Amino acid sequence: MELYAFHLMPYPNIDPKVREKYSSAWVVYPNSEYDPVLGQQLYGEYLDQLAFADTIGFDAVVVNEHHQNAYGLMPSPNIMAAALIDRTQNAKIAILGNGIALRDNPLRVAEEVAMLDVMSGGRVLSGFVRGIGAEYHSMGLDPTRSRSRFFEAHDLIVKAWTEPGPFSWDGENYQFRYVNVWPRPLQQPHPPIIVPSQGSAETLKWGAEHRYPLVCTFVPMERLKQFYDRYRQYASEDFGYEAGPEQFGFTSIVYVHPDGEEAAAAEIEPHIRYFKERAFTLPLPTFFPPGYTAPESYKTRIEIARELAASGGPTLTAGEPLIGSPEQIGERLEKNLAACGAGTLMAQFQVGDMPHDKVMRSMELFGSEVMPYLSRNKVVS
Amino acid sequence: MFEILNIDLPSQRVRVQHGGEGPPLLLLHSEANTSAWSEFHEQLATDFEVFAPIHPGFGGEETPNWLVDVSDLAFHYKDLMSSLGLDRPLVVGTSIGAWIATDLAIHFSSLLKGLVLFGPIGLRPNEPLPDLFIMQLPEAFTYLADSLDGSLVDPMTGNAELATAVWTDLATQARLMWKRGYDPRLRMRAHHVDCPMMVAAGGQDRLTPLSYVEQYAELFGASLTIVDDAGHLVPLDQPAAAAALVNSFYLTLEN
Repeated sequence: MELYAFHLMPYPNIDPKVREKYSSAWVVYPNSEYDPVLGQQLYGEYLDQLAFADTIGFDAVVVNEHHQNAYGLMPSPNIMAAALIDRTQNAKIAILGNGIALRDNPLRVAEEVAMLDVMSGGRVLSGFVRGIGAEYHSMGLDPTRSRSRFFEAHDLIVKAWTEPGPFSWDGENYQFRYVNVWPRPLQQPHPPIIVPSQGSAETLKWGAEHRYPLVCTFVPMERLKQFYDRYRQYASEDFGYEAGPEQFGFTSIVYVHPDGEEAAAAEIEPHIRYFKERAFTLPLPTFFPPGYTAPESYKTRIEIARELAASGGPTLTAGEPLIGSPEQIGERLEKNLAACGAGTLMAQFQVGDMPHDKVMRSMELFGSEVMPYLSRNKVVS
Repeated sequence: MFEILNIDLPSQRVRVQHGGEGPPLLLLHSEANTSAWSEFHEQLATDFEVFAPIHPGFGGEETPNWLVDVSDLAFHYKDLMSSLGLDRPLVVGTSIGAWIATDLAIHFSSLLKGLVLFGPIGLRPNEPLPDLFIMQLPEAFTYLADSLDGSLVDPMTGNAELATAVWTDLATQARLMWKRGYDPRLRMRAHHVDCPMMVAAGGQDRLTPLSYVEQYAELFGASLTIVDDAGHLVPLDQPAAAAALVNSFYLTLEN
């Protein structure tokens, strides 16, 4: 099993009085609410947390891309990845991902990820995403082009990494007379590609075809199993191989407390609530703007929204949170991975407005007690 | 009463609702799942032979790849007119349909008898128009027509099929309008329209302000009529009054 340290780098001071005037902390929530002085402190703390994950033996640290929101302050994941190169020694740097469909020039992604791979000595894991619907509002990009741009940008970037340049590219969305990316990546044939997904059939099939590991964030276990099963089915029926646990990962909120589950839950509850109520809420037209997905998938989305509402709203706890004593967490982690056949856990230690010292205490306990438990039980090597 | 014609064009197959008798009338529908044969069609069909095609990417169909901008639809409808053998039809369009009609007239004015535009869009506004794409569907409906029932398309409590149909129409509208909800070339090309044009707008239009339709009418040298008790989609809110306007405009062309 592999352990990744996942982070969103949220803004922790969303004022409820201001927030209630807006439908979401995305797209329309005014940036006058952002305090850059606090921002500097936050970036420092958040990067320290990820660097600490490296020192306690995490296999990878995770950054990601979101735009114009208070939910996650990494509009450029490659800048965060660059900041992590010198702060980490062994951990891979997983960019989950670059929103390649959002770029008018995907070669910029090919260049930047190649730079990061060379600079880090080949420690980059390169995730590619379409970007959630909100990004299309924020970037002024026609969502009906999203799928087509994603697949073409992927093909272009991989070719730019693997085939000698210069060559020309004449696609539906992108045209280049000269593709000749310097530097080339260090890892051969290219940095491993990972696909974060919300489980659309099209993406699952495409991921299975390319054997790209699939990672999911905030997906309930039942749906997670469905997604993985469908991917495994595509792999075996359409592409002739058996997908192993190393091809599946998911995010869980992790909070370690020496006194066990009840004490841990009481301490993390307000931060989960902050995250859920102030940062995470995405109205359907923001999350799924017209044309972002096929009409059938939109109808499924309506059904999911209704299921979630019936069950008390979108739960962050959907990702099977690991909250409790080191032993409880160790046991549950094993059980959760086995339940869906996944091999990678992306642990999210910092949640919502959880302050730095609280995050670090939990991470320290994870390092000193959960890690040894996992080694003893041969969950990690 | 109407029948469905399926016509194969170079762009794609098009479904055309066809009914009524009289001079030919090409009716270009508006957004938000409003393409179906309605009271307005029925009224027009008493005086005209109505051809009401469903736009590509509307009426439940996914946005086609070939569709890039409104001019693609102008050429699509030029092909349809040829295919149906329509001789100088009167073209009536509402909202996005009015924009397509305008572009059709810019390119092929001589093939048209005249234009009636209800709540036209496509011209650059002085201030951005309301962003229908970020609104919940029931709210978007309030900007379009008073007679549309928003509760039906509430994603949480309404009819999921219907909500998806409206969302799918909006998707194709997004292809045409997401980056820019207008065509900057309209102003420069307006003088290519040399058939008579009439513009009508709802007195309670919440999507485009009165000054917007005034500019539109002025640019094309069209007359402007304001229809009382109507929102942006005039033929939905006032089908009889809208059909009467089309009729009286047609009579001025005959004289």
